[in-house]
Amino acid sequence: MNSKINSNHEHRKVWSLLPWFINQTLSATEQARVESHIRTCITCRIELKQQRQVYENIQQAELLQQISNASFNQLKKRIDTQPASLFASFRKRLDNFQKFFFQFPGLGKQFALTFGILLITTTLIFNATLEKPQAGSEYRTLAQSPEPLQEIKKPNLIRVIFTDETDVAQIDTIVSSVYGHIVNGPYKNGVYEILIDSEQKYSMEATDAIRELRDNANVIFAELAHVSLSSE
Amino acid sequence: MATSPENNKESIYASPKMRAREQQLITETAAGNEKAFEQLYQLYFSRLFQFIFRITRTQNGIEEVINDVMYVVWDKASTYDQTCRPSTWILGIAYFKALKSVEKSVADEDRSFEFNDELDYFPDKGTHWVSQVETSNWLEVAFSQLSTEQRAVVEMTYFQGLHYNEIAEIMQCPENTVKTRMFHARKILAKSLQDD
Repeated sequence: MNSKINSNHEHRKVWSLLPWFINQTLSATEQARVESHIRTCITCRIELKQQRQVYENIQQAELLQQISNASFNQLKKRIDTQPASLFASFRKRLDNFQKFFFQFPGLGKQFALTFGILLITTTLIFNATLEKPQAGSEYRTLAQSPEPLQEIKKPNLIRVIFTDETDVAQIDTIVSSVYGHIVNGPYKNGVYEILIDSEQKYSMEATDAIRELRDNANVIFAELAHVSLSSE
Repeated sequence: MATSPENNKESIYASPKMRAREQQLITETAAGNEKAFEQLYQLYFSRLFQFIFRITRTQNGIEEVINDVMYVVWDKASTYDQTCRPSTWILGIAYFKALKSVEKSVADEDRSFEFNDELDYFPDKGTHWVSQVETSNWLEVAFSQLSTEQRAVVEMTYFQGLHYNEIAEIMQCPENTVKTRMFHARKILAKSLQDD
């Protein structure tokens, strides 16, 4: 009876030591004890074999693979915590999409190409829109007005900026000298809009007027207003 | 394929030559030698990465935990009394830092659920999805079934090659507790391996 109890006690003791028998960290006494026991205990021999298998498999497991698996599982858990209806709806749409393309082999490639071109074009257009200078924050010419553009009816309209020293009387004299009259201004940026009175074709008359204005020392800037009536 | 324990990294970790080198590096670190500390850091980085990952089961913030561990090593190097192996000392610090990290991530998860009460109205959260993925890797399945303490014991036994008394020292628990944790862990591991 006592020997059976002792045997059970020894079995449990050795059984618990097996992992450290495998990793070879047991003391010499403990190692001898395990070796002695497993010679007669088939249960411990089976367990030892199994644990060695576990140990070897663990050793062979790639850490990076495990990290990748663990990460992916985290992502899956995150996805699974999303509202079910939303996810199901997405999956259904994805399934339908896949089914559609499986019906037409080769269509997928064409679609991908078309979609790619469309994406690039959209991006370019979007960027071009964004790249336009913002009013107030960037340098802009008089032609780049932030105001809504209006088509002009009278094309012989000129935009002029005079020097700060030029007084109202001088401006009137200069404007009269080119047969024009002020229709708008001055705006905050100092622009006057001058309409040239002419029966001739505007391009000639306006061009002459601009040339004359530019020759005047009191004029900083003069240009034809092609498309807009607003210069503010 | 059988792996010879002699060729394993555990044997390298446990070699007297390695132990002496690590002890020397800690001594020099205690004297403020940054080069020695850097060498110690490089020497332990991958080992700590593996150790912490297997306990926390997430790679999120592992580098941060490693740096927390190595900061303590730098700060307390002079208190290392050389009676235990350097790895026992460093892994001991890492074990508690990893546990803290697990506690923190659990707390964060709880908090995030507080803001997702509406999810409770959806009966099937699709957990089957996760299990399907997990079955692709038996070790992943097995480790996910182990408790943090059980994972730590398995890691320290089968990966770090430590004796149970060293593990008990690291985990600051009785040796029998280590054996009990291993007892339950190995049953789960063996079952997962058989099911695979």
